[in-house]
Amino acid sequence: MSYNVKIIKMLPLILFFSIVLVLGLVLYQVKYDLKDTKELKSQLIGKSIPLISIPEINYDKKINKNINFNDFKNNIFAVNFFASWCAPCRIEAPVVEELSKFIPVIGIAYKDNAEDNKKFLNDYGNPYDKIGLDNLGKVAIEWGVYGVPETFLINRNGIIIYRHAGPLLYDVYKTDILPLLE
Amino acid sequence: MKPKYRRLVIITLIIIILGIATQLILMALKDNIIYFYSPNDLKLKYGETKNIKNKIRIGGLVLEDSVIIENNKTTFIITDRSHQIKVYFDGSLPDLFREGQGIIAEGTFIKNNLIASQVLAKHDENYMPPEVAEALKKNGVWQGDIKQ
Amino acid sequence: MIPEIGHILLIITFVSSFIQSIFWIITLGSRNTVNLIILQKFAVTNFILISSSFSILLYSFIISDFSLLIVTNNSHSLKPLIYKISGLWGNHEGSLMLWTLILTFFTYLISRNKSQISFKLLSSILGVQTIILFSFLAFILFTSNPFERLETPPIDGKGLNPLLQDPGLAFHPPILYLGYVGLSVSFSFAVAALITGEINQIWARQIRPWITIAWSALTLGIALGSWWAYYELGWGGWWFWDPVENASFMPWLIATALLHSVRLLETRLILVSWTVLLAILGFSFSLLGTFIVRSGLLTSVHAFATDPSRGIFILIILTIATGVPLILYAIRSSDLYTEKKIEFSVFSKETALLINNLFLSTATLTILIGTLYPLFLDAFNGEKISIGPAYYNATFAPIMAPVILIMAIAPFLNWGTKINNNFSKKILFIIFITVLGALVLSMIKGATLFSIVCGSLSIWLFSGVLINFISQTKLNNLKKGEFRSWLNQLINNNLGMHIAHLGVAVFLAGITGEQFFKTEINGRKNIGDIIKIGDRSLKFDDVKFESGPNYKSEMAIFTLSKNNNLIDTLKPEKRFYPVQQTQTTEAAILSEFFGDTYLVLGDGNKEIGWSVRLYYNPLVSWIWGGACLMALGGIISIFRNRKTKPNIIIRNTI
Repeated sequence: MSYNVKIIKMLPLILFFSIVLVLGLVLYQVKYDLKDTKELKSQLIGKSIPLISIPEINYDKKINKNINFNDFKNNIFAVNFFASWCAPCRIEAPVVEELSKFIPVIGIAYKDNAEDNKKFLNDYGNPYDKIGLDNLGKVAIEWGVYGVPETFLINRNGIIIYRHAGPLLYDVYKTDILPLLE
Repeated sequence: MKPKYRRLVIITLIIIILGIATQLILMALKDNIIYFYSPNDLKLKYGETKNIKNKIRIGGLVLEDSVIIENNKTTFIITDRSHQIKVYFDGSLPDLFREGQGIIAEGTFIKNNLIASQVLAKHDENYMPPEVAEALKKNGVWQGDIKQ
Repeated sequence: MIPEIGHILLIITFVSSFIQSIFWIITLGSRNTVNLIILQKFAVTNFILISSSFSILLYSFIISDFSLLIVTNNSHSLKPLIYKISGLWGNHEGSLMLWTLILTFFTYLISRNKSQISFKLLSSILGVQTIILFSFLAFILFTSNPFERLETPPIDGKGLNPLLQDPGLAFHPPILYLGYVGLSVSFSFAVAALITGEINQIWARQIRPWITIAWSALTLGIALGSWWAYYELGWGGWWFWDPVENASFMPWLIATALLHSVRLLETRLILVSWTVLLAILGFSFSLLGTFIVRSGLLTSVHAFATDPSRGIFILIILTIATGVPLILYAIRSSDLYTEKKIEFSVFSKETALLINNLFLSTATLTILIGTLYPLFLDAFNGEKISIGPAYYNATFAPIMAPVILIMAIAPFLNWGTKINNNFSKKILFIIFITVLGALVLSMIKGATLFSIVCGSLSIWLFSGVLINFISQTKLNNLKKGEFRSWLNQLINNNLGMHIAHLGVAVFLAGITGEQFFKTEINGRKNIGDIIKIGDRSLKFDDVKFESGPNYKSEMAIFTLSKNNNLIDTLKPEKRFYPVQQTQTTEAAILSEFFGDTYLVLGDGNKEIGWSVRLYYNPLVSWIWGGACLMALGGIISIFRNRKTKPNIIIRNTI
């Protein structure tokens, strides 16, 4: 095997490595940027509550008004997205009940109608301090909800500190939520 | 042509063509670069400047309730949730154009507004901020279960 | 349980492909033919394993197994079966599975090669293919596992986006992948040649069908993507010089250059190391394309799910897959062959093919710079820019024009020093037709200098192809008789090449019509209004409101007629999907041989009328027709029977 290296034959190699070097450099920066934004953005954690108004359903008094989050100011509270048609919501009902013994819980009925919703609450219990209706799913979009059920915890300053997508099971409640409440 | 001269001719040819190509590329790059800004970047770079000579691209979300369509002429606002820019567009919008969608508008910046010649939206939903995309997809998913 | 089997099969193939690669490297110098037989057996096993794993994934899509993340994200129980299946490769993980499936299938086909190709070369080709398989399996298993499970499976999937359910989009990726993977085969041939030091006409003859397959598939794949953009995006354009489009176009240009240089290598044994370099670069550009598309570095109208960690992985694969062969190239390529002192005249096929390669690679370079320059600027001073069509019109187009000029003449030039007798007669004929055509073109209303140049190039090529076809195939000399033998004679007389070149001419004619003679009418029209397009009239008849399965539609009905004879009814539509809160525009397109009538309905009502946008795009369907002819020509030329005797040169084997 003989070697006969000519400069001209090295040219593709040199060009190629300089391109790769730049690509790597750019990629490094992009990765850095994305990491920054992704974690904050995708979960709203560390941000305040989205400023979208949510109409309140009140089964006793027929008043049309929006939920006022200021009522819960200086309190840790939870926001729970649910729906009467959603099977996992039935599973989590007892855990939400448990949670509501410690802190106020606001329920937001996602793409639901008042009648079905009322029936659901009769059947599975009503742990909610207030119930909002999100007929068009716009609130869910603002909150970045993945699906129902989903639960958010909001601290005393109105900042979202925790989010759980999917049914709130006992072990999640115990390992994630209880420590946050203390 | 003798092999001896051939090499010379080929090399000369290569140099000439590469030279012309380089010239073309340099000229084209000078005239046809389009800078991309988010509304915030634009503010930072140009401050209160009202006009920009070259074409630019602005990327961001379409602000909710800002779209007005009249006679094929569209106005809307692009926002990055910190600054906003009003866009005028006379042309057909991509289907995925909607409020809250991430889009890019290309055009000239005149009197603090963008007169767009092209509006681009992505045909993949993932381009949107992930949480919005997920929520929208979810809407599609649950459609069978909702009683209207 | 079943998806886990698929996952395990992938892992098994991954581990075994590692062992196989080691086996190949150890036995590299050995003269024992048993090693080749073992490698061939490996190729079969890999193909069986990967296709089983792929079938399992396919099965999960067909039965809509939403416990798999990939199925949940890309499918829905209400989708038609065909889109459930295409959902598999409509995403990153699944498309990689398809990639490896095609790779193992091609490797299996190579392993069955029974020609004169030497066993050393063949085992090296199989070895390189195995290493490629190994790297892609690593990529799949470590960054993009298609068999990932969901802890709580949802009731239904999320992939019911009406925009993405489209036949054009369903078959665009697999066809493009055939092209990319086809280029991996020619890459392996090149690397194997560098390792073994064996390169000759047999090598060229064996590599050529693979390049042709890859080239034809790339042509079709790119055309399909462009067609989709044309009818679906609703603004009448068909090519945007977008980074994602460039990513597939650069490998195509390289493959085109390679297709022609390997012809020189096969008949004259020159341009040897250049061909090897092109074969390496063809695959590198495919990887670079994948990198650009998947890493999210460039913003583009066609965005895919992007993830920087995947970008890093692809960059590593790209670096190794191109770096190592280029090192080999730097130290080995000068020793590959003795440059034959062949004499050829200025007016010979050799010169024409050399110029073809020179211009095609320069054109690739301009696109590469246009695509990467924004990245460079971003890396060095953080400025984000984009480079639009104006750049490419000013660089790519003038560089390609000489290629078209030569393309018409080259096929009837002779090899070597003998100048074709009828050369000047033929040239005069072509010039005559072209001047005639240019005169006719200049009389068309709205003709500009550029439109005349572009149209004349098309006519130039048309007449060139025509005269070539007539003079080369000598139609009256064809032996009559059985259709098959008649067809074989045609194929062996370069039928494929003629058709492919004709395709380019048709394509150019389409561009001329679409770019320079398109008309656009915009305005507010009400029911009863009539729009004139040339000698035709379009009457606005009615607007209907209807409900589809999951949308509400507002449909306008227009009738297109000429001298009161009905030609067709056009029904542009606006659909509103209440659940997704999405509106889509369904353009009505009447596609005819001489042009498309493209009608888009805007908003409006009975009081003020509707805003209507109408395009007439002359010859636009020729663009895709031309691309299809090119691909067809490629496919035909694969069946060409090569009669020339191989001239075996074997030197410097390890």
